[in-house]
Amino acid sequence: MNKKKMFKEAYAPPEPLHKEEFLRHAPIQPVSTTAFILSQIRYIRKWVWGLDIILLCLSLIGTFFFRWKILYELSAMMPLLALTMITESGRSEYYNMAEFEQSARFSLKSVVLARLGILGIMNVFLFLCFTLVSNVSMDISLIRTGIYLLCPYLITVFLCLWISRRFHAEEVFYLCIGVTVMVCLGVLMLHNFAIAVYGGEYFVWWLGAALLSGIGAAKECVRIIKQMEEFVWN
Amino acid sequence: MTSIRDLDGQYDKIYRYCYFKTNHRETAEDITQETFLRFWESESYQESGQALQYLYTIARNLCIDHYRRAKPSSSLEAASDTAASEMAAQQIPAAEHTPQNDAEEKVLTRIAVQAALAQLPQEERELLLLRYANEVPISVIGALMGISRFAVYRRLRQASAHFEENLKKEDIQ
Repeated sequence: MNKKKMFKEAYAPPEPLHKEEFLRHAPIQPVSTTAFILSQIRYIRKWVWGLDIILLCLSLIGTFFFRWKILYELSAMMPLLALTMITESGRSEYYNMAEFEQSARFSLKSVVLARLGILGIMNVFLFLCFTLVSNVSMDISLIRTGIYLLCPYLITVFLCLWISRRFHAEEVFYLCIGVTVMVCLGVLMLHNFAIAVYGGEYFVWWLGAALLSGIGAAKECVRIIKQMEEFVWN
Repeated sequence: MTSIRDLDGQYDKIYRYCYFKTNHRETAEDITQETFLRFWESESYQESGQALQYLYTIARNLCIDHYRRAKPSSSLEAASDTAASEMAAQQIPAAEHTPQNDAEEKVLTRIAVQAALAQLPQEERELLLLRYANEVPISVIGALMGISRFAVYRRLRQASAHFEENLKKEDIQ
């Protein structure tokens, strides 16, 4: 006989009389910020983590086993990382869960920011890995490698955030996918038909595009947060 | 455990522990509720990763307080000794009335287990309850009893061996 089961039966006390009543009036347990943020990890869809792992594995295998110059391919894949982040942040709205989450213990803003924070950290980690891995097979500086990867990512983030603010529900998801595919294809076309744009003389343009889209994305973020506050007040 | 997530389950476990200590339904339940109220009053332990240990410490201290207040001459050991023998005794009539064989066998096994437990020293019974019935981690038991993890493992092995010897005497294996 199972030891635990045996002792549970042997030590079984009589049924408590006032348990339900007591637990009904139990205070809600406080949850620390770290515990709250960590609790959001399980709500992020598995395919998001799967995509991150696949991209990381491909970049490592391609560079160290096949000696590929994967900067251009990774640059074209970066919009996918941006897409996972944007769609995950707006998921509750797509599935009409916003009101439900707002009425629960934490505000929608806290939930969205926690998830964005987790995915942001993951994306920064991947970005650093991709930069280092891509730089192995390239004769360019680490900063230039980083900007070539960051630029498509930030452009996608900016465009998707703009779409998220302007459009509603299901439309956003499909529009964001469309924009992401366009940016991916754009980067691949640059690599195939205008490889010269990756030359040193065009680096300023890349830097400018990354900065502008970065500023644009930050502004969109602020506007979206303000919009959420208005939503709560309404 | 950083906070008491499974409140329902923990309530049952603390109640089981208090009943083991006091052998009185209402008292055990009062102490269980008082334990949780005191636990919620203190925020410092709830997030420090020692919540479970703190919960059991409060419960044990409240049981000791209860006996100090109620009967200066009586002791927790005596109460839980009585509890163990009463637990075993209470089950006997049920065995006689159980119609199905497997159910009867189950009840008989439980009686034998309770009788074997009743012959153990109070500390060993408490150890077996905490580890196997309440599934308290070894580290928490160690901290609760003020002994090392190795000592907990050693005492658990001893308690299990004594229990099995007693069970053999009861003719159940």
